[in-house]
Amino acid sequence: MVLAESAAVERPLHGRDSETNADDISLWAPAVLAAEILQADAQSDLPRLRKMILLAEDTSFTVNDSSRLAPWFLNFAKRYRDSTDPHDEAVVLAAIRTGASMLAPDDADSLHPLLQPGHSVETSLVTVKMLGRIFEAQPPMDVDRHADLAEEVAQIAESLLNRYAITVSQSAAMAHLAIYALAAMASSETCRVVSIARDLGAAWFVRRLRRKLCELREVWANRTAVVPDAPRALLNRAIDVLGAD
Amino acid sequence: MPILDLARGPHTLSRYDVIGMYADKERRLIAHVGLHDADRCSAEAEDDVYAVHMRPPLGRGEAMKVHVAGHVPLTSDEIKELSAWIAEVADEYHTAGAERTRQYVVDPPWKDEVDPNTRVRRYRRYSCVGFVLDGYRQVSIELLKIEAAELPEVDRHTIAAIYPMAGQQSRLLPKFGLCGDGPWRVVLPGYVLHALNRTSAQIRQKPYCAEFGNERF
Repeated sequence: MVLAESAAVERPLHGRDSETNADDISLWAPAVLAAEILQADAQSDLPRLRKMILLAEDTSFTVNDSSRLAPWFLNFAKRYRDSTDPHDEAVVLAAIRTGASMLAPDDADSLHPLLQPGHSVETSLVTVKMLGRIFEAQPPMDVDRHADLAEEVAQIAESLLNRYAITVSQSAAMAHLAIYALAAMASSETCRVVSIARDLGAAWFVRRLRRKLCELREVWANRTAVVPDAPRALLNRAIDVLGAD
Repeated sequence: MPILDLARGPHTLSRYDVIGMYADKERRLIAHVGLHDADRCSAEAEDDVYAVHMRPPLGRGEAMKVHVAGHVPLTSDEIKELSAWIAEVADEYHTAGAERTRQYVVDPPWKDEVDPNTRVRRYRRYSCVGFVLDGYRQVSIELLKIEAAELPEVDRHTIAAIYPMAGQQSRLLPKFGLCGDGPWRVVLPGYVLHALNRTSAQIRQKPYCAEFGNERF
């Protein structure tokens, strides 16, 4: 930790030294935070709302609150991704991470709009990343259960799988994350896309992709609930396509 | 030599060398480490150099004061892998100027925050040294043994010297994963510099086992 920064560590969030507990959102119970977020509207104090969204990422909500918060966070991200206020970028990205983390696989389609590029806040990378994490934690029951979403993710991966794009670390990261998401959602497109990655002739790119897919295999192997055969077999084939290190 | 003592004169820093900053120059107590975020540049003690480091929040391409640095030659492919990893996780550390300690943890050196119902990962908390260690893990270099049983005990006094605010406000300690009164077996920033004070072959071969007193370098 940087010493010069340490003095700011516990600075009150609202800039007042004598806040009551009711004002200090960091002291709110999860249910209170959920209720305050859900009743926020266009007239709400935006700086305060931003703080609540950032705090929500560190908060454990009930299943019931999560089911109402997830669409709220994703709608917030859709509404504010065209904002040019620099404060909104962090909040939009946190809203996507938090909202997506609450989704069951069957609701993952609600992330589809956030894959679209061309907005002031670039949401595609974090959305692709969260798709991978949703299916990593909640593996699909079979192959191609999420074909529409997989088609979009495969398009993202293919658009970036060329020797020029992957020289930019952001594009390389996005390509890795997209392939990871494809494998995690058990898309039958996975092996085809992985073979495109292999044929780029970029050893580092293939090595990192192999590492990530092997990590997914390990996560699935360590689950108490068994991952169905078909997604596991598909993942193994994808790793085989990449060959040995 | 993998360790570059910048107090003895300028050295050339390479991208993703480990850079360290003293809390106390006399005692050579390392308070903070990060990764050098620029291609070859000459630096000496007290210089500000570009860093990617967990302050918190994660700083990228910003100035960090450097006193000592550790170097293991990375291939250009390894540098590309590390860059891709940083690009992959960077969004998780934008804060819009809000509470920053949420991104920080001392013990363990990194910890995934997950949704309690779905177990889906939201982001990973790091200590400054945890960020460095996880970075090198991306290229299969395990710098340190981080299992508690392999770490020396650290008392509250040492923790307070490295994390002054945590020392002054004891309620911060549990937030950082330090419960009770200590001592604790935690990974401290100085350890990574001892890990790098070996030959490149040794560094790549096996992780360093930190010893009592290694918080100083």
